[in-house]
Amino acid sequence: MRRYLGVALGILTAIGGFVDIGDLVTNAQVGARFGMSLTWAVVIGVLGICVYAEMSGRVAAVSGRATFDLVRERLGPRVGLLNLVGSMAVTLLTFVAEIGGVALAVQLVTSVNELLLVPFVGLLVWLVLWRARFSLMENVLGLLGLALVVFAVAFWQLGPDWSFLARQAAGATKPAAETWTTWWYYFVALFGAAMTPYEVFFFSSGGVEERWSPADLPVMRANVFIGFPLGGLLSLSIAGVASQVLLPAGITVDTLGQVGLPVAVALGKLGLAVAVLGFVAATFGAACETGLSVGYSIAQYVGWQWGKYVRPARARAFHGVLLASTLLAIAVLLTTVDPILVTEFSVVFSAVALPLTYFPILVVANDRDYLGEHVNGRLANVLGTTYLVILTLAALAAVPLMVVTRMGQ
Amino acid sequence: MPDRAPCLFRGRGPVVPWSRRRRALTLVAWLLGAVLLGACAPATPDSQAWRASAVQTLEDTSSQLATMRLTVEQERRDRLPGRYAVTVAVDSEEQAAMAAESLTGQQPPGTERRAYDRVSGLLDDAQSLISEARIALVDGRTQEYPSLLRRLDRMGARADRETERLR
Repeated sequence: MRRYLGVALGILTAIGGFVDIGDLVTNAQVGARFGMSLTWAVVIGVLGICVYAEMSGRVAAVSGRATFDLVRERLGPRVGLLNLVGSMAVTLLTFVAEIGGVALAVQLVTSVNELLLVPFVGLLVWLVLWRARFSLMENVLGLLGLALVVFAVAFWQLGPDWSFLARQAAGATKPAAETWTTWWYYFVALFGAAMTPYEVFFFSSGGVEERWSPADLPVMRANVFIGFPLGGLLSLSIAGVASQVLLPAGITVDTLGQVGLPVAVALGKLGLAVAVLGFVAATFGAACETGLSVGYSIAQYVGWQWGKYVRPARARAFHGVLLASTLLAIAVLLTTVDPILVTEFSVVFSAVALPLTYFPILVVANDRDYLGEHVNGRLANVLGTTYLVILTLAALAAVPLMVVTRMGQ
Repeated sequence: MPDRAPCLFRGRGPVVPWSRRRRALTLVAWLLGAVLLGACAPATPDSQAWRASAVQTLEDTSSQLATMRLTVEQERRDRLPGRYAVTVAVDSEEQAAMAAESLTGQQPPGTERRAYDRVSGLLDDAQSLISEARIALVDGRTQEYPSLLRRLDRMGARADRETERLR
């Protein structure tokens, strides 16, 4: 019974922890402009993150070591450094966006300017990273993130024409006023948001923190193959409500406040209050995950003691990186840069960094020295290789599309 | 008469003739001046680029008018917490101002002066209306909401007509 509860808890936290500021903003922008015609981008992205999260989780459970640790050892310091720089730069950018996202979410219910909130949010994130237990942080924030289920309820309540939406999703059609170049820009952005590199680093490093063993593989797979797709459904619900309320009204999404308006239309004040709780939990949870991922990646590459399972005094350098990256994020946000703009950049540059992040994982997951009998099977390799091709195409197309469409205008 | 031109510097490096040095300094001064002038002068797009920019600005403004309309409507139906409505309204006001600034900061081509006058007038009116709606929301003047909703509708339709005209 206890084991089943553990599996259920893992799945629920995976659902609640799946959505972050990038998913919130990008899905709402897409729903408000393209309806459900970019559903395939989310479906392909979610399947991709499942494939690679399962690989990296398996590596952590079988070898007891995290991704960067093995990448450096298996592929050498040069490739490891390339992998580190590419992934960490994007993760740091995402960390900035998430802290800004928490401040924007709190601003919605306090009307206090986000610039005044940013230092306090940063301090709170750092305190959680420093003091809170890993399982407590993951479970509490993941479960609170489930509040975003209110978007699915609101979608249902709005009573859309399901057959029309299904045709729109299956046919990948676009509204007449939009161009295919912009459509593809948002396809890549949604794909990047779904496959953000930090998710894999956090997942595998978390597995090491929680001391997974090969016996935990079924639970890990349940979390990935049930939790992540259900999290993807939340993303689609955000696009869905935007397609029902914002698209007909001619509203394009520039602020977090606009993302929540359809929930108010469908469910009123109570529904909106739950949605704002979901915003805060999702962005705060993702801020903790991205902050830790920055620390994990550097510490694992350099070989420092890392993790929240060791006392901070024994992992001084790791905690120093956490503090420095939090201060850097606060400093960037205090320049008055728009957190939504940072989010838009972070999802596009996530797409650019994807091959650098995922190729080494595919290599390590095929190494019998580390994984023995748990090495990649044929299906994992076919899917992994197919996704590597898609990732490379997305990475090559991301910046030209961003320039040509002037960030999707 | 010296056998060579006067030199500006005589250090350990090669001796550079004064005339060549002066030409280089003049060139640097011209380049610096051009950069500074370029930084001060407004962008001067051609007619097609200006129209594309105007259409984008009008679409952004129209989106903010629609956001304000939805916010006032939900507030009228008591479906929005007050602070949320105020934050969305303030954001809309800022976004509309930014959109207008992105266009009015450009030098309109001579052939587009009449279009510029129409568009800038519309943007001013839209910003004023959005500010008026924000003030009513903050003060909770519910009796003004029906009238604001009608005016926001009309202003949105005016922005859409101007957009079509410029396409």
